[in-house]
Amino acid sequence: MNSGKSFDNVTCAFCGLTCDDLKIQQNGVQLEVKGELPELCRSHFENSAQQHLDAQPTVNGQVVKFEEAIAEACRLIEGAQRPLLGGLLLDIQGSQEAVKLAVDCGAVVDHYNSDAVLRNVKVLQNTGAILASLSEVRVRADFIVIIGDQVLDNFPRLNERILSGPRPLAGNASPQFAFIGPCANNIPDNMRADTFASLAVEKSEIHACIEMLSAVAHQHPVSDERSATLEKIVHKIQQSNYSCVVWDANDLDYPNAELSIEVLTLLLRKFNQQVRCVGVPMGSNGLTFHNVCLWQTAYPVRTSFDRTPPVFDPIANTTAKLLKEREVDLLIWSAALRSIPPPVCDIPTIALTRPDTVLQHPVAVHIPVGIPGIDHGGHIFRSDSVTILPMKQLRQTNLMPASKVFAALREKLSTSESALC
Amino acid sequence: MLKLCGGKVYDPLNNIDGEVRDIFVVDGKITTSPPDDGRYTEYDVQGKIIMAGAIDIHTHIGGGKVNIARCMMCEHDQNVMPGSIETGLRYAEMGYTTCFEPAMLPANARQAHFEMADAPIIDVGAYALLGNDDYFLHLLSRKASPEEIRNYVGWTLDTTQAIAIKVVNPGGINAFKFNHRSLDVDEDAPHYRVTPRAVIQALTCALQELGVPHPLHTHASNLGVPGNYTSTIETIKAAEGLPIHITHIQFHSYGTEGDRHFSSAAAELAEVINRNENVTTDVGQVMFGQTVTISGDAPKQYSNHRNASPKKWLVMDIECDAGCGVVPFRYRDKDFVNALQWAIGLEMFLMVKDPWRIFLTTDHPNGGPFTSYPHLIKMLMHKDYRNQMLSRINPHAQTMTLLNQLDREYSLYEIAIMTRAAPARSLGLVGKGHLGDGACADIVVYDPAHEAEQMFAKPLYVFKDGQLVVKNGQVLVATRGRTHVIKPEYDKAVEKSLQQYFAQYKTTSFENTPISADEMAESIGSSIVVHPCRSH
Repeated sequence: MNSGKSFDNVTCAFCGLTCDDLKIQQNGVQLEVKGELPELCRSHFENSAQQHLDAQPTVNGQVVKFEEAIAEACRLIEGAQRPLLGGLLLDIQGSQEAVKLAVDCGAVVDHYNSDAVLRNVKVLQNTGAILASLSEVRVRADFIVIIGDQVLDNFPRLNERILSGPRPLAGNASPQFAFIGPCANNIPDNMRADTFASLAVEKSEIHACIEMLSAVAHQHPVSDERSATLEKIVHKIQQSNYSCVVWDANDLDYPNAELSIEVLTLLLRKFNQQVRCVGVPMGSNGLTFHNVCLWQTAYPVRTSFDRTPPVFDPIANTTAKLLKEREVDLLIWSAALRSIPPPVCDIPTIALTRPDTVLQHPVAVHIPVGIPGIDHGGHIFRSDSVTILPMKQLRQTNLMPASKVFAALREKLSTSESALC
Repeated sequence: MLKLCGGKVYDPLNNIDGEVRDIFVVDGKITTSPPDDGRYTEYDVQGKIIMAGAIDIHTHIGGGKVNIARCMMCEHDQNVMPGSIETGLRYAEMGYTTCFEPAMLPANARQAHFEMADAPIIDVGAYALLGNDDYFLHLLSRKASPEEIRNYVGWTLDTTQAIAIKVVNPGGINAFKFNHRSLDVDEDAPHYRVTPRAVIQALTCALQELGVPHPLHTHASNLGVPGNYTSTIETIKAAEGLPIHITHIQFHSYGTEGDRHFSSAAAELAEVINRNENVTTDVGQVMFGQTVTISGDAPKQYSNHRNASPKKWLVMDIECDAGCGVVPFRYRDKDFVNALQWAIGLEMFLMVKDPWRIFLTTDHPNGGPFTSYPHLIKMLMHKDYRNQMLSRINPHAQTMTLLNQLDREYSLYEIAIMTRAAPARSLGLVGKGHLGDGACADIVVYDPAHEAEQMFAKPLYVFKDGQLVVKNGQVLVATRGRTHVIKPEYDKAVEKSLQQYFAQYKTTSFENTPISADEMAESIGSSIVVHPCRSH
């Protein structure tokens, strides 16, 4: 049993904001977050897998040694025509090894949060973006428009750390806010006094509101009961020094939401002809795998590496579709950052999951892995894909990092006499 | 232990110009005192050309904006922005063994290093961006002492694991965040009320006092603007005789003559560079075809967005450090402006006389991909071939360039200077860029039976630290390189003021910001090599 140790400047990998100012007290495998923090932030550490820390690898439900699990996993990989690497809730090091494995064995890669990631990616690839990173919002935003439903809930400290408070490069004034969407029904107390405008509409009406913002900005006539508020917002942006429009692609989860982001992007272009107005797309830590895959291969999530050049297909390379239509014959599932089990399927599954994950169906090979930033150190991207934060190891367990499991698979495959597809 | 027998060696740092000599390698280093009883793996390289591994002094290979470009362009067949793995392999295939990312935002340093570490074989390094960060501009605006500035520059180099400092559009990127769309060399920036000239003066002084070998790597004001050559001259003057490096000078060499109000000022700038020995430059040659422009110069990328091809683009304001812009671009030989840009770059190569002070780059990918270097070298070495290329470009552009009057042809020795010896000396890389005693055994063997472009594109052998990594243009083994850095002395008292700045401006902790040597070696996967500073 370890004696207690306290850690400062701990990085939290929970929501994508990657706050790195946490103080954690460790006692054995227990972790306690010091100070006042939202419950979600606290629970990421305090509820982290306290059971099953001595979980062992299994093959077809039978406990085996690590080397045997690796050997069986490699046998499955070598026998597969087209593997799928899914989940991919990994830190940078885990992502690096996973991408290399995918390239080695000609697999498809699809991250658990690919839908959200690709909503912004599709717009970048089609149109582009006008963005700012979080410190820029912090120091100079004088008007902040929040669009969506649970943006502030999904990033519990976004309000406190980034959106609120005096801006040193805006005369130390606090920003004013506008809310569009269901989020307008839930304005935080500290933002109420500074709320310039709010339009509480259903999520299904958000796209129409964005289209109307654009129409107003382009001086097209708009006749709608919501347009007066939207006109106020447009004029406010046109009079502000540095406006920010905040959204979360995970939160805008209605069909074809990328079209909303595209209209927003074109609207930001319109504003920037005269004033500075930037987009602030919040993102989950799915961006870690996506960014690593991009830098190693020049391809994003939902890419198939079974041919040259690789094929990026955001529709065809979706986990649900690939499984349903039997276009893959082996699932290699990895989820170290969150306890998400592999989807139920009838193809062989290799699962690398954290020990508190409850598997929903029998898997061929299961290797428990540690939680990055808790059971082992590592690195993770922040939601604006600008900063990478280091993560500390906070406790001692026997759980192996997912990166080492992937590396062991690659090593075993490289020494195997069988040819890989 | 290796012995390369009978090759023609071009090693300008040791004044060797085509001399036939053997090269011995022991434990990854070249030795001129090989053990007599050594058992060598011998390579018969009689009649072959031997040079040190090539060094790219300015190539965008790692960091957030590079990755944005990958995402934006991945659906295009040409794959104009390769991933790290392909980057390392393609460079090594051409005999390049060390490459430098020239625009590393301090807030994004970890990503730059992670990406470069994943590029196999090549050694790497990066230049940290300063001069648009709010901390520095605040120092200048409150007339901080040179000592304070020096300590901040030293801290930045240390904690970002950089080898040099780069400034991009001094003060201009910051000004864009205040909705100021351009900034001339003597114009006061908004809010901080300091000029680009003052930024350059302060940074060049600081680097000189710190003993950092590489000069301030300067992306001058008014990139791409017709008539900007005057800004470039003023930028050079701003250094007041201290060393300064003007990067991708082709983009900063434009006049306004002619009915299109766009002309070459390469002759004027070449004369300035020839007369001022404190100035070095790299060209940023344009090569025709599809590429993507990526730059920290967000305002200039914003103003260029109308020329995006295909029509998509990004600009971003980043972490009180700087910004970036990504704009796909297609250079067309039949387009007057693009054709003249191409000619201007070549004029610059041919009119700057000292090959020790001009470096071969395309500012990859901004002017064109690094894989076009062999074609560029052939044009520099063969006037007839160059003029043949010239005859194909926009006819009006042909009338606006001096190119066909320039007879100069680079020799192999001069190519070796420009692509190995000079970058190594400029960056202060001990043991690189030469084949003398103690040098890293980064050795390239070329076959002169091929014409120049083929010869430089597909070397016979490439050795990295004495290990054969490429044979006949094919990679044999994907080794891991190292990161080259500089560690000037500075007073860590600067950390106190930086802690206050981080608390007020930044959204990540001061404590997690510095990248340690251990982190580089163990987590990022690229050990650092520390090079000495110049003594005063």
